[in-house]
Amino acid sequence: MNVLVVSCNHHKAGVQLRERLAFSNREELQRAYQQWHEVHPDSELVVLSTCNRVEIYAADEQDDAGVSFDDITRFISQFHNVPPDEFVDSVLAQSGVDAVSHLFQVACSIDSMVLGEPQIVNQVKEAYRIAQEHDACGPLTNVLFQHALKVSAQVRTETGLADGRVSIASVAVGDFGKSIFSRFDNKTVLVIGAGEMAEETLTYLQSEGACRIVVANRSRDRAERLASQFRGEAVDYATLDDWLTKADVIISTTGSSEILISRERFAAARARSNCHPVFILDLAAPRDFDPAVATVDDNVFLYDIDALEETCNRNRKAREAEVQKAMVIIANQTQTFMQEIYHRATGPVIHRLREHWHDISRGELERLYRKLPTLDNPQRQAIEATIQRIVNKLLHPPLEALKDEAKAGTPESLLHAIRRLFFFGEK
Amino acid sequence: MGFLAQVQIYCFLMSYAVSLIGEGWLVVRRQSSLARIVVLAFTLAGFLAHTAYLITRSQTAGLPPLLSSQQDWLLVLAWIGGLLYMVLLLTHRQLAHGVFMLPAILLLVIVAVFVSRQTTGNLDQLALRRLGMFHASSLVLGIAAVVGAAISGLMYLLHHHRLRSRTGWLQRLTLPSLENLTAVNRWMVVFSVPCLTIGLVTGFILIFWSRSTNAGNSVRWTDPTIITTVIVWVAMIVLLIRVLAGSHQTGKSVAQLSLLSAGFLLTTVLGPMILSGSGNLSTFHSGSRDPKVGDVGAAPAASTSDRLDVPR
Repeated sequence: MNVLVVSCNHHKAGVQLRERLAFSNREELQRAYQQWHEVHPDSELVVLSTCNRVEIYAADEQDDAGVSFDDITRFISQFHNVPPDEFVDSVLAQSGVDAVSHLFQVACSIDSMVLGEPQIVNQVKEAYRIAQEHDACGPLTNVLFQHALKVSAQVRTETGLADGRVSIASVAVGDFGKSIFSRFDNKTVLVIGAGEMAEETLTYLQSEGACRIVVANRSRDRAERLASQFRGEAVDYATLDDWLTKADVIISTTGSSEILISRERFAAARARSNCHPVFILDLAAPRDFDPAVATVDDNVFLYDIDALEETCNRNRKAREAEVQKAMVIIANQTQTFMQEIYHRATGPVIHRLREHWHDISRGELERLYRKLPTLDNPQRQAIEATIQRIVNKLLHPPLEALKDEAKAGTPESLLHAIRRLFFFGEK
Repeated sequence: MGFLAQVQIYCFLMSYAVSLIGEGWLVVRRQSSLARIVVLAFTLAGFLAHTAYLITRSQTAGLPPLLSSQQDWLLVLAWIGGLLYMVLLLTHRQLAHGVFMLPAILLLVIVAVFVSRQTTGNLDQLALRRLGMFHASSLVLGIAAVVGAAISGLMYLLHHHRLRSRTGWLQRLTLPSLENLTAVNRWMVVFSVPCLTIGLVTGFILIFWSRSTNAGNSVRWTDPTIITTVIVWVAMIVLLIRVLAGSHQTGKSVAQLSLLSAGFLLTTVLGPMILSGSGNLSTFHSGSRDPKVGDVGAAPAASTSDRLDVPR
């Protein structure tokens, strides 16, 4: 049994190299599977290509004569037309138990840039599905990837690795926004400025149901572009104070070098409202809102980037504390998986051994029956049962020895010895 | 039935206490499935024991629990809390309702231990029994709503404080959104006022009835229970007016007033109950003996009729 992985990921390779080695679309993947199959028709392959990693998993039932790291490197090099020298030092190459453990860590999001992020498991699932579509999977990769998905589910259930949000926008909406409002479909969202952070936050808000979005920006063009992206409305920047009165959620991301909304300005706008709760996300640096705005009344909830970052860091630390627990699960599951695989490797030998001995016993019985034709059926059955018991008792010690040896790895020497001892055509 | 009769107050008191410990543990370790199972199992066990106890008491007294004694009346109030908590435990598993509801339930059960459990059987007249039941039900629902308003108010204030100051230890509590808490808080206040009003009006009708049927042994208008209930009712009316009329009323101020009302309610309603249970205060609701007016009944409503001394 031979499992190999060559991984070009965010730990060792920069984004430029990852982009060069990526299999960025379905057509490229299709071509890759075809090319691989032409060169290595007997080996299995799964390609996992995401923005943070390009990983090639190859597997072979043969231990020595199968696919090698050089084969995979050559394949990558030829496919992308990148000389091996340009990437071999930036990739990770692992085999056997290390390769299995690596896949489990990837599927559990321990190896991800954002620890515990949930997308990777879907990406692993999708990579496996595409490999299956192209008939690139086999008995080993099927079991390996199914097991990896199972381990990922176990880690998510039994540890807090995926608990808490760790990106600014998700913390803003998921942790703070949803603590204030139970729904967003009846809320007015005001965006001041049209920065990237506003875009990301609006994506989260929209996924929570926010539909009344207004964008106020000094540049009307940029406001309209952002508004149209989220089916919102671009409003005149001069009407900002009116919208400060009406808005339930305010996201501010301007590039202003000075405070844009002073306490007095906000208090004046607030005096015209019914003091409904207002959730303000000041995502600008330097800040757009005077921190004293939070003291205007009890229903003003103002968060700046530092406050959000503080929560992100706390959640990140909480996730890091769970890594050890997840690693224990992964180690146990890797061991279980390897034992299953090693045990599976002994299957054909066990089968042949059984068949061989039973063939001998059947042949000897036939000779006996020819010599003693007067034996009736009950006598024949008694003799057959006795022979069966003898064969089973003789088979028991070698099979037990194989089972024990298989716990630590493929029992190659023992399998070889059995083949030699019982003349299975091994030279 | 013999088994049910063996259920004591301490059985469900201890079950609810264990559930509270489990809820506390869940605040510390959200992932603990063992704590979750313990909370669910002990709450269910406590609730079943609580129900069994009330059924047994009702059968022994020959009256519905609301009409039998002051202790049973408080236990019905706690039972409503237990039922609500069970529903929330099953429907909103991630939220820390128990940390707030279980102490209130435990408080009611503990107070119930110290109040009068004297029962009366003078409610044979069907109309009187129905009116008494209506009176007691309205009051118990009204008071449950006031307690509910206080619990949601407390949750609101803690959640509000957490969101504004981002206090470390409070981050562990998973609470409903401020919007939901405000809505629950306001609806509880709105619901409590008509219930308390109906309870008071029916109580007055029962007093008039007693005076017309048995003038020499009637209920005093100055009875501590009547006075305190009227005071609570006035307080809730004031709060309702503030909730409905105040255009600049924030969720925080309503929550603060709810807590104030509930504190007031606990002092004015539970205080006299405990005092009368220990014999230090005479009120017809406690079933205690009043030298001036003679024998009195037990539960708030039951005791009204008890005092009424309705002819069989």
